Amino acid sequence: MIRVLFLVICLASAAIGGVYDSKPIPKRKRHTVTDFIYPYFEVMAGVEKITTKIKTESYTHWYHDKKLDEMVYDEDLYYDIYSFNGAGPNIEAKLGVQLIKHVAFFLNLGLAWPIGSSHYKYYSLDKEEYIDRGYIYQPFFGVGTKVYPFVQWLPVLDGIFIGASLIRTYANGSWEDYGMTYDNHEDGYKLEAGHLWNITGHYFIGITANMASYSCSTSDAYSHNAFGIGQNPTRPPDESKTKVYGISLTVVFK
Amino acid sequence: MIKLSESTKILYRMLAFSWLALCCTSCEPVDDGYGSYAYYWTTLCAYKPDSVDGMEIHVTYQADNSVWADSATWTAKRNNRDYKSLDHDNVCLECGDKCEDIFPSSKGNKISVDITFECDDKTIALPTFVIDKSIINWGDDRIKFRFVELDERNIHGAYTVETFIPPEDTSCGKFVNYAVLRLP
Repeated sequence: MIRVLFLVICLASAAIGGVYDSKPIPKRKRHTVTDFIYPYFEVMAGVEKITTKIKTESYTHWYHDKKLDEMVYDEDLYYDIYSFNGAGPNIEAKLGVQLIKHVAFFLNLGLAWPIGSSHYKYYSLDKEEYIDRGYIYQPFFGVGTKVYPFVQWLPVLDGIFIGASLIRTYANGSWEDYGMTYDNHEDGYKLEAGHLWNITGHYFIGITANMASYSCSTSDAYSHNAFGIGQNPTRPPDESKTKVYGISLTVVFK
Repeated sequence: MIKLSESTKILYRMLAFSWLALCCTSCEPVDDGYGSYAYYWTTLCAYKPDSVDGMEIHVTYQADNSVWADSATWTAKRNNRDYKSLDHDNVCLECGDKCEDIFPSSKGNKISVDITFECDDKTIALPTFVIDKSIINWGDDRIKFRFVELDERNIHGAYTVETFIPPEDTSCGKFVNYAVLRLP
């Protein structure tokens, strides 16, 4: 009898508990693309230091020393030697999408106009060197990605990011004035790292340090291979590198 | 022994003829503009330095006892050769059928190139350049040389520098960079 009474009490308790404690099962939320993908927009303005070195190794290694008027054989002979050393401002915009707040993919578009000196030398053994001082304009574009690894994980490091882009940059091609046949665009990559701070809502402001490396080749415009007198297009540059180091103020909408 | 029907035989014959026809066309030497007998052809071109008024190239082809010569001159007023190969001040001499006649049966082939420059009514001679067995693998290579002032920045195409032939008489200039370039 006691057992039956105990069973009745238990069932009654369970029924009462079920009535008062049960909550309606929430409806399962339907996710849309906009829950994972957000628009991403970034503008940067900063300064950069740039160095460019391009030269082609001699194939014959014979050099005509015009001062002594004699032929000199030099294993380390180079020709069409161009270099630029300068620094100046740059601006850049990035437009793309951000995935699950961690990764952004974007298109880059920017312009740099460093001030410095361009050096032109026909042969490495030449005493004569031509120097032009002034601005060079370097528009560039590319595609890139940026990762915010600590978002929603470590609040202290929330704003840290790293990024990489593939870039094509256009030089002014001033070497053509000196009979050099290098292409007027360079291809390469750009790496960046920095920190953002949330200002309000979707707006962030921060600082970005970046480093880029580009190289160019011989212009297709001089791609004739038959023997002839004229500008020498057949050999690619032995050394072609542009290094850029910069720092920028960054504003992001994401 | 397999017996083939008449129609099958015809089909096989047609296939055989087609194969032969295709082989004949594909085995034809590539026509590179010099004809198919190019082994002993020579093309020699001399480029005039800017600082001289005229130039002459004289070439002697020697095969054992057979000797044949040809020459071409370049002057500001006229060029006696119709064949000016490029857009520059140059004269070219080609030896085609004649070289094919005299060189293959000979054992001692030799080509001598003499170039002279003219300036201010003076004529100066450059050292004779001799193409012989030490330079050319006769019969395997088409012989192509260019004589030009060497400035690597201003010459395109593949070549190797054979030697320099500056004149001993420097009354028209030293021309230390006047080079003999061999083309592949």
